Amino acid sequence: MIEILKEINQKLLKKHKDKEEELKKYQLIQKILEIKDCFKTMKIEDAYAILRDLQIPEEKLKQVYIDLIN
Amino acid sequence: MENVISTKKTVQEFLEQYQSEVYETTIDFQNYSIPISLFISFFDLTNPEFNNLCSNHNITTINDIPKEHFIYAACEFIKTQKILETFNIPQNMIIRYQELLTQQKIDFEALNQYLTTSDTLHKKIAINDNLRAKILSEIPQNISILEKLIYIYIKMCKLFTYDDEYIAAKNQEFIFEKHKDLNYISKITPENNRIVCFEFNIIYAKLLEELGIHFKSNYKDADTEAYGLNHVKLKYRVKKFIIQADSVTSILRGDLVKSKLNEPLIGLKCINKNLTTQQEFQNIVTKVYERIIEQEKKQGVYQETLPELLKEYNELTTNKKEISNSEKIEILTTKLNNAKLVGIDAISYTVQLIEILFQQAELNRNIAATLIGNYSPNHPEKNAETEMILTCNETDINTAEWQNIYYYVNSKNQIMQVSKEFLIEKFQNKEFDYLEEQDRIPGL
Repeated sequence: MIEILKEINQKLLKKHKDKEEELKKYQLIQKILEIKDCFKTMKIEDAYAILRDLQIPEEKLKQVYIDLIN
Repeated sequence: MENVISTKKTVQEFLEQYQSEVYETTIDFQNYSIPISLFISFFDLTNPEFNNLCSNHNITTINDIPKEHFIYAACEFIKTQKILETFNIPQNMIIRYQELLTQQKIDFEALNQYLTTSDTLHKKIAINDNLRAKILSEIPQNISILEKLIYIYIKMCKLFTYDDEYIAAKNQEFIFEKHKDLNYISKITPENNRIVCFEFNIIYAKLLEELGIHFKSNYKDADTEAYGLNHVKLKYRVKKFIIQADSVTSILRGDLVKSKLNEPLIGLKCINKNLTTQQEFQNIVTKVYERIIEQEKKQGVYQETLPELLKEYNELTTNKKEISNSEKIEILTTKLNNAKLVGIDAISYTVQLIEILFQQAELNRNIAATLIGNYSPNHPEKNAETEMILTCNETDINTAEWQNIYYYVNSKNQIMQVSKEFLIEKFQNKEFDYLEEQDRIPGL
């Protein structure tokens, strides 16, 4: 699952390469996703925000999150 | 009624005995001969004069003697001459003496401590040149000795990692023997950086000595120097600071790990009783830590921590929203019911989940986890089991307790919603009980 999120983030990095703030946000997400077990350490509100930024549909957030904290 | 006759001498007798006498002492290698009448005058000051003398940093001497030395001598005189046991001293003098001993009015605790080093083993080791360069080459020159020692400690923590082979070694003596061998120290390099507490301590000790600092390792006593047997740490002194250095207070969460995450250190601490001194030391550690981080950023080797990244991320995202407690509870119950854990493992996992699902304010207001003992356990071979009750409330578990929802997490890691009445009955039947006197389930 984390690899899928990294791929999604890569696409969003390319998409937003000309928008400074958006680019910075996805660069931060890229660094966060590289940290081992990041979703098992951060608060759920931060996790959901990242998943929303990665354009995971709202109705799927809970299940994706449950899978991530396995 | 038996009459209790005091065997103590009077104040008058005290004055007669000591008024004209001189007290001789040595403090930090400085010899003093101090008229005892000066001590008497000191303890006889008015409250404002006494407090000002102790706490005013602009007053550095008393009768041309460094203030801390004078007060140390005064207290030493009272103690060594058993003044309180021998004489009926006025109460205000006793109170002042006892106040001074707490070290909170003025800190003289470090005096006469760590003036020499009795450890010897550090003299027998050699530090690899590359390792030495890695630790010391970027040390700023315009910093104090204390800051240098803190810098060295942090750099060493960042360089070394705890030897996981040693943890897993069990009965493999050769692994233990390697770490007990002083000759092994010279083989430790920036690349061969797996160590245990023995090596960290002795390398740090050697560098302390090179900087002119005296120290004492905990394995050194009057007769022996038992290196390599038990956990090792050391203490040293720089001016008024007494410092303890223990890079492995915990293998998994000690400073060898924390330094790499740029988290606050727990193993390098000022052990003076004076709270102001402790805070001063902490401020110096923070300053040195920040300096090292700045160096790492300039070199491009700085690893941002997750909290730092999230802080930056939160400034840029517009997608952070509240999540309802009911959704959090649903996630918690789903995870628990699917986890293949039992007993304490299950409880530990529950606690970990609660920490990431709930904000701190919610932990105090919307959810509580209470450990209980189950004295009618399901397990046939056990007399008791540790289980957990979760109390949840969208409003407040303490002030709106009629809305509390209770979940029972049993030893088989099954989580089920239960009623307040169920819990009351279990406690009344003594099937359940609290583990600690002060524990309570909110609303029960």
